Amino acid sequence: MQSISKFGKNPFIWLVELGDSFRIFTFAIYYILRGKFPKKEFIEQASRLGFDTLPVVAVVTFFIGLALTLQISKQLMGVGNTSTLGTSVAVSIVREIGPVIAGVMIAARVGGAMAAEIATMSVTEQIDALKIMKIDPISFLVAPRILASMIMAPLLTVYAIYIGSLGGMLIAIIYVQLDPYMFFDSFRSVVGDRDILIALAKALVNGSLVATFSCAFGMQTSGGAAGVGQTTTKAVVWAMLCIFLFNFLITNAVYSVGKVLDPSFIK
Amino acid sequence: MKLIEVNNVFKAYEDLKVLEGVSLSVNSGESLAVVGPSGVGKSTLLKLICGLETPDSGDVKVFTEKVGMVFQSAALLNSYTVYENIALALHNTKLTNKEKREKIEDKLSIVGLEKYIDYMPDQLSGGQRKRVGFARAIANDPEVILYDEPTAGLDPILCTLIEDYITNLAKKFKVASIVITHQLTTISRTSEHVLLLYAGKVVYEGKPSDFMVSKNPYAYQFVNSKVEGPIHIGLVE
Repeated sequence: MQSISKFGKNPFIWLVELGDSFRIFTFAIYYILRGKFPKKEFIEQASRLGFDTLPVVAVVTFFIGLALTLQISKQLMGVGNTSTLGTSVAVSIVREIGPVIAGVMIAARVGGAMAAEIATMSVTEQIDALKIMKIDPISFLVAPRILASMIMAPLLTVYAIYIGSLGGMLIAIIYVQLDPYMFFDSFRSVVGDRDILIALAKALVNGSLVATFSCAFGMQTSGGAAGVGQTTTKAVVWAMLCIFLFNFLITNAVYSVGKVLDPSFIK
Repeated sequence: MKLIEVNNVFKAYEDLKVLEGVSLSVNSGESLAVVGPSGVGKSTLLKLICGLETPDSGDVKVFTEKVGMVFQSAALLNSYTVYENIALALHNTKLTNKEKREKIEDKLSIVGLEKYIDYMPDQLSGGQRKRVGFARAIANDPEVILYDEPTAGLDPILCTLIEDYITNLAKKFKVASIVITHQLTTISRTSEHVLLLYAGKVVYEGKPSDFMVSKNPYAYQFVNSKVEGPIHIGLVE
């Protein structure tokens, strides 16, 4: 905070804030690796992240699965090739929509609340109280939240993929009258272990981004209730921007055209 | 024995100069009241002493590790019980859980809240939270306690109670204290020395009894709650 305040009205202050977020993330990882964080806080955060976000993720991905499959099936019915419906749905949901939607839902549902909680702790001097008691707030508050987010985001992503695919299968059965085995056969023909691992890696990154921005911006908060509101908005916006950015970067690195054309890439 | 020494400290936030050459010292068992209008840098001075801020220039020396602080808002962690909040102050000790609990019960009994040990902060009144904050500050048997407006927003009876805690600690355990306050009763009941801050500088220093009858224009205006005088508080005329 002190380092940031020195920059005053610098138009590039966001770069300093990002740098500070990265510093906090690095320290948090250090504490996680050394097991130096309160386990009670971790369990509480993991529960909040996982169970509380589960219904929202389920509803959103289910309807996205329905709408997406509906659109794809209309196009495929036009060319008389509905047997590849599962393939298109699999590529969309497993590789892109599952990880991104789970990340966005975590940012919206939990990231905002996390940022507001830490920001409130900051403006009500609770973080100062921890420092005076010689407790590092990064170890005490940030590390358990980042770890909880890193563990629960992949689990939620698997769940999002499952529910989204279920929605897709319902449309395939009811609207296209496709045999469920045929749907899943074409689904499985493009989805390999590598795709699942990449989706989990994306989720891990998304989880880290949400918790890091929420905690780092929360700890930098000043200015009472108005400051808490600004922090919450800023944390959610930055987390979502970075989720989309990193999703593209990972997709580009792993699924760029040349690699996908390589026969050894599939499965 | 000297416990705190602040020498010619300067502190500014961007263009806003908060402290300009402030010096003070506090010895073991001594109690200092820092007073002044809002926004003159009293809380900043406290944050410099407890290490939450660093001065732009000048020295802040604290000759003990055992420093406790009572915050204006109590600053209790809302997701932790009263017991857990106080136990945080004992995290560096080698006490067993049983010893910890006994110590926490003992500290809570000083503030008359031993029955509330398993309560959550949001189940307590403002005054009770402040008293838990006090118990947390003394949990580790500190040599210095910093009080940031300990009686602000409390009823007169509770104010007297908190002032008694501060005085008793100083007398019984030789705990040094720095009390930031606006209340004249708190100054006279808890301190041996008063320091009046204005515009980032010390404009009066002396004993509480002298402060109350001082002809120093700053002290006179502050004690007698006068609008006219050398202290300007940014009122629109």
